[in-house]
Parts: sequence; structure tokens; C-alpha cells
Amino acid sequence: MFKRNSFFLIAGVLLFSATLIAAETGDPLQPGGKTTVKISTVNSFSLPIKNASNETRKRFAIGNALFNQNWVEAPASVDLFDGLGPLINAQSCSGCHFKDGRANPLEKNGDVAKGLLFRISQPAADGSGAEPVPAYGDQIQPLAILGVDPEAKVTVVYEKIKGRFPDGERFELLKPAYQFKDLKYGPLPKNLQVSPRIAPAMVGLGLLEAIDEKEILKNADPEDKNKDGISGSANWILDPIKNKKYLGRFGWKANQIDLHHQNSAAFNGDLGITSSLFPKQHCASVQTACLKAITGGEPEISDENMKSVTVYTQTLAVPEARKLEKEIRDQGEKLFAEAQCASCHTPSWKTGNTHDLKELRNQWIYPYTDMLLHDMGEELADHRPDGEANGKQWRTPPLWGLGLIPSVNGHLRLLHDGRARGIQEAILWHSGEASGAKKKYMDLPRKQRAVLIQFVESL
Amino acid sequence: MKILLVFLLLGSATSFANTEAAVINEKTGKQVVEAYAKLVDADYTSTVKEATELKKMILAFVKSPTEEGLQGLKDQWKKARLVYSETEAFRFYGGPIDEADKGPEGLLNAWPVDEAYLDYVTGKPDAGIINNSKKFPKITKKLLAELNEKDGERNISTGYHAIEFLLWGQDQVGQLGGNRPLTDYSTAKNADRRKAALVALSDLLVDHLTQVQKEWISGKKNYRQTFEKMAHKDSVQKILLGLATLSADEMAGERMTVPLELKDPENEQDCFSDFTLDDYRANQVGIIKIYEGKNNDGVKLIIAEKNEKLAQSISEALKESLKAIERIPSPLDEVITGKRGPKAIEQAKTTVTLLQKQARLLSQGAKLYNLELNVQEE
Repeated sequence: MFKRNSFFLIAGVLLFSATLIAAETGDPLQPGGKTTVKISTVNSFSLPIKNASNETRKRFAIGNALFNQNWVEAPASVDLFDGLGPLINAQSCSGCHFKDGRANPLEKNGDVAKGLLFRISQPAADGSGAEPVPAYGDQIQPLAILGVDPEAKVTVVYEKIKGRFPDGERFELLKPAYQFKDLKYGPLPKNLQVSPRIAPAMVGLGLLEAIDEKEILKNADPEDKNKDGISGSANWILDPIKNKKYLGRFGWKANQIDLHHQNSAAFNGDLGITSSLFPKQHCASVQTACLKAITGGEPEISDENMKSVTVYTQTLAVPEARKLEKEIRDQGEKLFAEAQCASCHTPSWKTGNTHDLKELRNQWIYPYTDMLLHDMGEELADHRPDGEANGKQWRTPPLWGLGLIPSVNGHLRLLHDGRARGIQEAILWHSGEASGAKKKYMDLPRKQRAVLIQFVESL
Repeated sequence: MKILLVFLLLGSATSFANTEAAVINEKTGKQVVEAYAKLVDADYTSTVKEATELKKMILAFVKSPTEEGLQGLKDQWKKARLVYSETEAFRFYGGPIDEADKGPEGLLNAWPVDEAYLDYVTGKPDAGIINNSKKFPKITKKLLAELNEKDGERNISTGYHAIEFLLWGQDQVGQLGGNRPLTDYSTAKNADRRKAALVALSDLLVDHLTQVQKEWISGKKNYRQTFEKMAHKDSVQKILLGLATLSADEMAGERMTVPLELKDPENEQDCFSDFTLDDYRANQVGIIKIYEGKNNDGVKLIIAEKNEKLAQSISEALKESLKAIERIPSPLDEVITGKRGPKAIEQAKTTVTLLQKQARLLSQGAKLYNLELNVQEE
């Protein structure tokens, strides 16, 4: 009798603790944890996190307005929003991150759209590293205010690359070749390093910022000591104000330590707006008209407004995952793991306990990224070092919300330069450390490949 | 005995998920959903009617522009705008108005307008699509629709606010609304192109509203049919989501907090016509109409079936917000800039708090049926 009693007691305790554990591991259908929102409209990437406090919502609303604001050149009648340029990539954040989503690389007739930015540099005298190009700086700005020459125009030609799966199915990939035309500040150097980078969707960035640095570093294996063919390394970036190196998290090569830095750099480089972090205009020494242009105040965006923009970018919510039949979902998840996609696209994390915004703390999230750099092989290489990232490394991008890009932006152009026309093409471009995973995908029967794609679309 | 106990525990664990308790009464659900669909149909029909009238008047105006004609257009724009504002709670759930890919909401209602994208502004006499005949030789419906939000969310070339700007002109600081001279439509540079734009925009407005309205006509193979056939928990979630999102995100957030905090009159919704508060009131009138129902057959019934007290307190909160909106002194830009004093700003802030509260109460109502509205509980 006593034994029986304790059996049920144990059963009860087990049941209870099973419930607790379930609550502890989160829900993949709620990829942003308690921040997740339920939505599938054209505005899927534009909602504030579900659990936002009133103060956060206020910041969000203001940040949203600033994100969409078309900045104008100084002086203007509305003092608040002047200071655009002189050299720019766009007039507003939403000019590239339209509806807080992802940019399409193509304009038309081979012209590159403004959502695709070109980082440029040249190696130092000893042939190593990446230094700004004297007459152009570290990015091409294809637009400018009146009276200042834009730096260049960029066009693209795609080469078609044909291939076959082992089962005979054919595929075709597009390989881009870029050309800089109408160079207004002299020729570009022969040893120019070029890195194209598309504007990514903005959801869930605050949650990625909230993951503890030490948790991310647990997966780093730069020398591949565990011999799984996958390294994963950190990009250590100097914070010039604190004079200390931090883990780089944002940008295609993880060259920004947090969203405040990322946003301030984008305001400066892409919109020509100065801030406390970047008090100087983005003009090279030969760009005299640029240097002489009237400023819209010093700095042109106030700390308070920059903070609102940062909170906005921290709190754009991840939408609920799309529902799949359980069988498809389970099979897709299994294939994703078996093909080793999950080795870099780490499914889940628990955010740390220290982020400025309490709403982002201690959330179980499903971003599918390890936040680390990986060698992606020759075909994707930009051959341009960036911080400690070499010319073949890219940071694993998150996969959440991927399936909603077509609804929001009307396309599904993927990878750092938008060359891939959908998930399958993106996988087929994987190489380097991801060669094994790509091979496993290619070897799958056609039906299973489709299931895997369906799974990724649902995240 | 002990086994029974475990089963009881299990049983209570299941009922904790609250599935059975959360079912919407079939009869009430049907009544409410059908009444809602009828209301949406009627309201969009009004928007088409008023927009068509505006288009007719614009066609007459461009043939012989007069001051009376321009004033007539402004009055009719306001009429058309008010009936549209009452429909705004039909947004936010991916229905015909804002369905991904196809919904024309952005083409109809995007704001704030960057004026210089469409026409000249002070200091830039050659700005905008209208004055750029080199890049855009002919102004057509197709061109304007393609250019809308092309290079950013403020690059607006279609919809109510684009027409508003073409009728009123730029809203200068220290002046009530815009003051576009009649000569813009007679002797001024590019007057013909401006006329063409006005005609094309009114035509597009009618097209886009008709597109939405058709989806809500009864007895057709359209969205209304799908909506009436879906599970009541899904249709009711959509109805409530529209109400809560308009209240908290749009009205309290974008339309009031932003202009107040940025102190930027350009960030008020109807800055050219100084009609923002009328619009705002119409939004709330629309919310109340949907919640209560024309014949007491609104979504309130469904909340009341589980919690009558809550249903009633939502009614009261909605009325309180309406009163608060009516107490904000007009025009809003003078409140924003501080010209109307701190009390006016306080009144606007109170309104924000009340709108957030009404969204939270609606969310509590939704929770009775385990429905999610993306609203934070404080």
C-alpha cells in the first residue's frame, strides 16, 4: 500500500515537472517567445513585440515614424528632419527596409536597387586587411543631394549556372557580376575589394541582441577541434567609446556589436545623418562639395531620437510560425537536423537576463542562427576582410519569418546579395563549411527536399 | 481510488487549457458575424459612393476651375474621408483591404505624405512627379500606382492624402491647413499635369474602394462568403483584432503619440486639411458601431455571454474615449506645437491612455475565448 502510494506520488511529481520542463523549453510555433505576434498580412514585420510596455510602445511609435521619415537636405522649414546627405544610399530607412522587410536587389534593366549596398575597400600596402578607398570611403553612395555628385551607379549582369540533382532534376542559379559606372571621384583602385550587402528584414533583432555573449561563444570552434567540419568563429569589434572589444552580432559579417551602433552607422553612411556616435559626415577628402555642404545641426539626429530608432529596431516582433500538418513539420524538422542545417542554423536559444528592455529577457526563441561566422566557400566569398571576418566568412543569418517575405515584399530573393530566387537556390549556393549539408540536401529524394523547404518557409 | 485521483489531476490539467469553456455559442456567433459582414458591406458602399461623387466633381472642376469648385472639392473630400475613417477597424487582419499582395490599403490611405515626392513645395518649385515631365512624360493611373511607396513608406503618390495635398497644398507652420492657389489648376506651371494627377487619383480611389467593397457583397463567391463560413473563433478574432489594433497601435500610437512626442505637425494625419481630429473621431465612431452593432448585434454580444460586466465596461470605455477625443481642441497641429497650452497636450495624452485601455479591455474579452490580439496586459 505504502509503495503504491509513493508510486502515484512520484507519477504526480513527474507529471508536474514534465509540465514545468515543457514550459521551460518554449514553443517553436511562438518563435519570439512571449514577444511573438500573430499576424500574416502585408504588415507582418511591422508590429511591436506583444509584451511591450507602454513606455516601449511609445518609443516604438516614435521610432517607427523616424524609420519611415524621408530626411531632407538642410536647411529646411522642418528643422527636425533636415541634414540628409550630402552623399546617400536612400532618403529613409524604409527606403531599403520597406515595410521593415527585405530589399529586392534589382531595379530594372540591370540597375541595382538601392536596398543593395556595396562595401568597398582596398588592401593595405602589405596586401593584407581592408582599408577605405581614398576618394570613396568604405561604401558606394549612388545618390546625393542637389549640387553634390553621387559617387557611382551600379549595374549587374547575371550569369546562368545550370546544374542537376543526383536524381536528375535540373536547377539553374544566377551568379551576379557588378559594374561601377559614372565614377565621379576618379577611378577605383585595381585591387578594389567589393562586398555587396542586401537590406535584411528587421524582425527579432532585439532578441538576438539579448542572447548572452558567453552562450554564443560556447558554440564557437574556430579551429574545428571537434572535427565536425564546422568551425564558427566570432568577429571581435572594438567599441571606440568604451575602448573594448565586443562580440560582433549584426550585419552580414557580424561587424556591428549592437543595434545602437548598427543604426548610427547606417544613419551616417546611408542617409548622411550625423549622430553622437558618428559626428562627422561621410565625405572622403577629395569630395569637396560633400565637405562643404550645409549641416542640419550637430549632431543631425538627437540622442533621444536615435534611442527611439534603436528601441524600434529592438522591438519589431517576430510573427507566429505558419502552421504545418504535424507530420510534415516533424519530418521537416528531422531532415533539417539530419542534413546538418541545424549545425549553424541553431534552432533555439534562451535570451539572457540583462538586456535594457525587460520584455526581451529570458525568452525562449527560435531564430535558427548561431550568430557566428562560417566559411561559406569560394562561390559566395567577397574576398573582403571585415574586422576579424575573412573574405569567405559570413554570419549565419536567422531564418525566422523567411516564409513571410513574399507577402510583405513581393519577392523571396535570399543570401547577402539577393542572388538566390528562393530557399532551394540559397541552399545550393552553400559551400565551404556547409558543403556537407548541401550535399545531404541534394541527395534527398525530391519529395523530401520539398518537405525541408516547406519546413523552412514555416519558421 | 488512487488511479482515479491521477485521472482527476490529468483531467484538471486538460481543462486548464480551457478548450471547452472557450467555445463561441453557435447561434450568437452566426448572428454577430453576419451582422458584421452586413455592416462592412454597407460602410464600404458608402465610401464608394462618396469617392465617386468626388471623382465626378473633380472631372467637372478640371474643365473650368473656379474658387467655388475648389471649395466644393474640399468639402466633398471631407465627406468621403469621414466615411472611410469609419471603416478603418476593418483593417489589420488581412481581409480584402489589407490582404498580403492584393489589399489596396497602402494605395488608399498611406501617410504622412512627403509632399516633395508629388508636387512642388516652398523653396523647391520643380519638385515632385507632377513637375518632372522629363522622367514621367505622361501622368497616368498606372504610373501613380506604381510610384506609390516606391522608395520608402513616405513616398506617397496615391490615396486620400495625396488628393488632400493636391487640394489644400502644403501646411505651413503658423497657418491653418494648406492654401493652394487656384492658379495651380489654371495658369501655373504644369497645371495640366496637376489636373491629370487629380483626375487619375480620384479614379484610382474609386477603383480601389470598389475592389474592397465587391469582396463584401452578399451572395457572391467572395471574401464575405469565406468570412461567414470560417469557424466563429477565427472570424471573431479578426473582428476584435481590427478594433484593438486601430485603438492601440494606430490611434494611440502613430496618430497621437508620434506627433505629440516629435512635436512635428507634419506627422499629423490630415495635416493639409487640418481635419485630423474629425477623422480621429470617425475612427472611434466606427469602433463603437462595430462593437455595439447596428441592432445590438455587435461583437459585444459574444463577450457578454461569458462576462457581462466586462462587455459593459468596454462599452463605457469606448464612450469615454470618444468624449476625450471630442475634448481635444482643434486643430491638432496647434496642440502639438504647444500653442494651445499644456492643458490641451494633457487632454491629448489622456486620450492616448484611454485608447490603450480600451484595447486592453478588448483583449481581455478575446481572452475569454482564448483569442490573441497582440495587446499587452498591464
